Amino acid sequence: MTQQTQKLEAALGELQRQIEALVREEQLRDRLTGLGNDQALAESLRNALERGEPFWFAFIEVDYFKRVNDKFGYELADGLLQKIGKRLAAFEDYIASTMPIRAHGDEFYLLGPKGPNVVEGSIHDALQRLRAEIEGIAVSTEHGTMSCTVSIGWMTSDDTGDEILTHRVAMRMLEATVGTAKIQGRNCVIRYSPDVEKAQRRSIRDDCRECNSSFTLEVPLGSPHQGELFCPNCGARIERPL
Amino acid sequence: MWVAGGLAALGLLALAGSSREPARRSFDNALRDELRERGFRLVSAELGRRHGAPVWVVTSELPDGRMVSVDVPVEGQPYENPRRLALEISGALS
Repeated sequence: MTQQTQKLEAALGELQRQIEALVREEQLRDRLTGLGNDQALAESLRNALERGEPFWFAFIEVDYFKRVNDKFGYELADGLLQKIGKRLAAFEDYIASTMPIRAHGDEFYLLGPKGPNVVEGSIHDALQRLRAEIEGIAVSTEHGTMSCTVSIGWMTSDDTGDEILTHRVAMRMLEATVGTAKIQGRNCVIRYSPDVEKAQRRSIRDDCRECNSSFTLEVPLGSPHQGELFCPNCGARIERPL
Repeated sequence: MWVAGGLAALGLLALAGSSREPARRSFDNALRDELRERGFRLVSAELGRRHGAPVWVVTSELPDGRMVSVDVPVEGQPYENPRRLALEISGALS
């Protein structure tokens, strides 16, 4: 093989790697805002859990976004989501190395490493500034001024206590925290605490048909659905309506 | 239209360039096969942390249809030995 052929093959290999990286980047990007998408969120969270370094994680949900959609239409409402996306992309100005994500519709996330300069107080303050910035967005339209507020819940990787922190657990904790923010009137920032989950849980008392034991399960409000619960004693699926 | 750009794009680029997904998929497939050989169906395998230490949380379906989750502390690299993890799970479930 001539030296020229070897150089050409190396160049082609490099080109292929660059194309693959670009394709993968597109797979991880939300087309509307340019932020990461739900796949980027899942991978970033798994990476953080694998590295084992402390991190913080926030869920930002637009308040009453359906009303915005209904009043202004999808195209204009998408413009509002883009403006929120810009604010999230600029969150790096407050806390470096933050990954901004739009996972679905009006659901945004921020994920970043904790460190000596990124402590609970600074995270909360930065999220309060973000909330105020989003509240200040005003888009003039022929149907009137379009604006919105957001409810923000956040946690750190140290917040789980004895429970194992997984992707699923982190999402559950944040959903409960934003749920509490909504109960408290929305347009606010709430830090996760075990109390926010207690406030949104209900007890199910039942008997297992397999092992005949009585059990009590604490489950989140509104879920799980039928067939998603298992007896804590024998592991049998609970099929009856909840 | 991309409106965010900037550092968000850099973060995505870094994520895209350092994907661990192929290793994860390969591990999941190997673990699924290992558990199937032992009579269990893999439902989910999640890597988590308890007090900072890595832990596998593996949910499997038993031959009688029961669903059971097992926590297994990680020794060494999390994705290096699906067979050992399957052995520990089947040991805990048997």
